[in-house]
Amino acid sequence: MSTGRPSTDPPTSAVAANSVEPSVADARLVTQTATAVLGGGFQLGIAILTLGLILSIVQREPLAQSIPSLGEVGRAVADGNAAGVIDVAILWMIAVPVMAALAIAVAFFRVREWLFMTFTLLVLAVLGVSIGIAIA
Amino acid sequence: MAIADAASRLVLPLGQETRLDLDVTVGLGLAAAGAAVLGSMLGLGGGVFLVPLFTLFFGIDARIAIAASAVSVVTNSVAGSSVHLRSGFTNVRLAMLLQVTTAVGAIAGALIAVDADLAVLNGVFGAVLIASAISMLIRRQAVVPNAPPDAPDPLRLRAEYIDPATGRTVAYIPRRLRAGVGASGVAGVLSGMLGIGGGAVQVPTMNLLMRVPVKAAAGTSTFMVGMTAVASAFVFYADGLIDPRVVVPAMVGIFLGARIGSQLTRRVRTQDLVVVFVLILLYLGASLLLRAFGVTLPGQSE
Repeated sequence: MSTGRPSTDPPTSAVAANSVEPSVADARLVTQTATAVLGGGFQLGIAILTLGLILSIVQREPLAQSIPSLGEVGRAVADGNAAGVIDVAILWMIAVPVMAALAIAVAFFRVREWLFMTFTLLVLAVLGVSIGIAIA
Repeated sequence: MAIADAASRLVLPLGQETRLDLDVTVGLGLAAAGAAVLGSMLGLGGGVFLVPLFTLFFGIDARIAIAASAVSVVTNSVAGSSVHLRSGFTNVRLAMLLQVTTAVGAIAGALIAVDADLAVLNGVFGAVLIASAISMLIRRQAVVPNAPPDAPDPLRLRAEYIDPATGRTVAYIPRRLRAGVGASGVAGVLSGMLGIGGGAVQVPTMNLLMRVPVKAAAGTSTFMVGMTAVASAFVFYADGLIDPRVVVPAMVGIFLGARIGSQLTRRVRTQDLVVVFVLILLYLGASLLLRAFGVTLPGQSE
């Protein structure tokens, strides 16, 4: 990026340029990773939800009042239960940002951005506490 | 036990039935779509309107409405983030820095919401809506200069994007990081407690406080609110508050409404409608505040 600064200060410009350019390239990899996980996750979630709603109409089965434990959801899906498939769609949507955070942490690791990898791992740890509350 | 408790909290205008009729489901979906259209046009997110509409006009327990809103916010964020990421508006590094305190705040807010008295939730939500209305009236357009290349950037948070409106590259370096991190924690608490995305706090914080351009602030916030709402959504799931009968129409309605809202924003001068939007916010905010004191306005559900 042009700064308009006179060329009497080449060391500063050089340092600024060197500190920025790798960062932009690295950011692109991180961004592409996040985009792929979020975009793919959303499309799969919509597909599962659509399948669940179609099953619900075909089976004339009303939506459930709440989402049971993960084990019960699994059994409901195995039985071809529409409510179970819809529960999976909801839980999948909730899980997508967690998977995105995990993928971003890996991307930061690949570009050796240790500080931001640490921030992302901290976020994952906090989300892990939330998941732990849900499972407990 | 928690799930049985949660089911008993859902009170429908049709009475004590535990099954939602199709017209109620469609009504919830339309209300969610309307909430998303308004929220999208105002940049506040659909949850700000969704919870009051579900609570005041469908008689749905505030906690179930908040949980449904949180899941809808996640869905909308997952869908919208891809677009913002491709546009280059999202600053992933800044998002991850701010997300640490935001996520902690969201869990704390959700734990408060799960155990809070309904009157307290209604009162806090009403106060937030009225504050948002006042903020809209006095909000001024911030002028964010491009970041000078020699500005201090110890965390390498500098980012740039091409503004499609001007075709120019906009570069910036976020300022006042500590204040931004602190404000993000507050946004997280409000998000977890009220089921709103937190963008209503996050975008002004990034734009006005941290000098992040509006488009970058909105893109980064859209990316963040999904993870923020996830932190609270798992807490709501643990307490049996995620009710698919409410969540599914809310998810579909919010998703479609946000798309309609973003299209309308391009065609309609939102500034011309600000007064109408402010009146709606004030009405909903006052209604929730009154409900906190046991007063229900005519036409609203008990």
